[in-house]
Amino acid sequence: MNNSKNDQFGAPDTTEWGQEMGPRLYEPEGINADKLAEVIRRHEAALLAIPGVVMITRGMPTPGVEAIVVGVIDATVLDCLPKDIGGVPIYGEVTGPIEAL
Amino acid sequence: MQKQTSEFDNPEKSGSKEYPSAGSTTEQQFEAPVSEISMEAEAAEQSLKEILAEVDPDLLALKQEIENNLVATTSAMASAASAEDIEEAKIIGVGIGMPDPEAIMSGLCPNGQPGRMTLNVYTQDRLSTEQLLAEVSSIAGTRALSEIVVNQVPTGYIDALNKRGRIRPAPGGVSVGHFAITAGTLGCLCVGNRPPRSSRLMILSNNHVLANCNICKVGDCICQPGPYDGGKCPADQVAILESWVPINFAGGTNYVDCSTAWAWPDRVRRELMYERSGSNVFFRVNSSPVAPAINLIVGKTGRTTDLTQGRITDISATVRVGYGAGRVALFRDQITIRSTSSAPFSAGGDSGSLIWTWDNRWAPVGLLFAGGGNYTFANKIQRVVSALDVRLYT
Repeated sequence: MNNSKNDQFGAPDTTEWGQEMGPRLYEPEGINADKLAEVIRRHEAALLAIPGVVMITRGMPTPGVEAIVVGVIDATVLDCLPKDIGGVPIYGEVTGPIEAL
Repeated sequence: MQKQTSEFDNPEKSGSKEYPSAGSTTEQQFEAPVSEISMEAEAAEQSLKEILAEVDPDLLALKQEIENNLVATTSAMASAASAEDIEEAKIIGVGIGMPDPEAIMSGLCPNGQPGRMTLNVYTQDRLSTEQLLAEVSSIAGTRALSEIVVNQVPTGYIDALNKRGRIRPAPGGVSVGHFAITAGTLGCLCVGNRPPRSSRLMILSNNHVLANCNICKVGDCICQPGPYDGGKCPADQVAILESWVPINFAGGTNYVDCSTAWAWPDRVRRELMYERSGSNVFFRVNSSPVAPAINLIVGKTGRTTDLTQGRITDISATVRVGYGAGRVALFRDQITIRSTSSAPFSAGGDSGSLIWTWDNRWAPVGLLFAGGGNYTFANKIQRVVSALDVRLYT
């Protein structure tokens, strides 16, 4: 099926340009978080301040133990990472740069 | 009217069997090419030689000249500086065969006789006999042309059957892009939540796919396939840029990389598509987004890696994303996905893919936008629809 039979939709119309079109700012309020996410949120800025850190995510590199996984651009950055923060283990991983796909 | 989902193939049916892990035992079921296949190829080549031995040498020579011209013009197209430099070819293929009665009756092969070999000339549009002969003459001269029966085969544009080609109406999962970018993926369709946008049928994808990383204006041409895949404006236009959430490259926090493009309703379709054994398979996903959850198995179909399965490993990741040309943007509250197999979940060109639950809900959870180091990152689809003030139309 295609939508050519759906006459409720109009083709792009130049007379409507500017009406509700263009950039839309999106600045939501705070993020709901569980305990681990809250720890990450509190320490995120400090981790990101370490040169070469490109990602902060959560994971379970060891079965049953949740950790904060910190992605770095190369192995030299791993030594700069703390072993844990707020009691949560830090697991460094060389991801290389993260790129828009 | 919503179609029943049972009318469409479920990606789950194909499952991981279609995507075995590299090095898995599945591979051991297959053997390297054996001599039997080589013998078949040799036999086919011998048979072709025998057939061609009976063909008029002038016909063979003419076919060879046109073929050489096709090779030369194709090379020229590949090295053209821009799409504008490529001259539209009227003849797009050549071969030798016999005319079918329909071709003789319709005038496509005016001098054709049953059983007599013809020069098959494949054209994009139907040409008059004079136009066709003029085209052939311009390539091969008039030598022996009067002796040869020319059979015109108008095929239209010959396209590779893949997601980087032109598909109309265009489904989700195929190549798309703003005229100034390379190519990304058409995620799915959506409509605005309130007038006048509620009567606009729109393509949903990333800002960096449809809005060229903020370097754009309302009404910009969106083509399918994307420019890198040969899409041109206005010939391949499917939509105009409608709205986008600007990406903050100045150190601020981003939550979404998303945009909408207002589509011509007859140029798009609400299904998503993936390929199986060279055929296109269309399917529908739910239009009600759900929140992501850790360990949730998800799927996506995208322009580059097609249908893949992954597992959500984080629902609140912070990631610094490079956009080329030294531009970097920080994203928070993102979904992290890892492939369930050794094949990657995504690659360049998959940006904009809709990510949905790999279960009987087929519920949208994310909009793919970045990746690196075997991780794929997606915006939460609930944030995307909220930011763009749209509802999914899938």
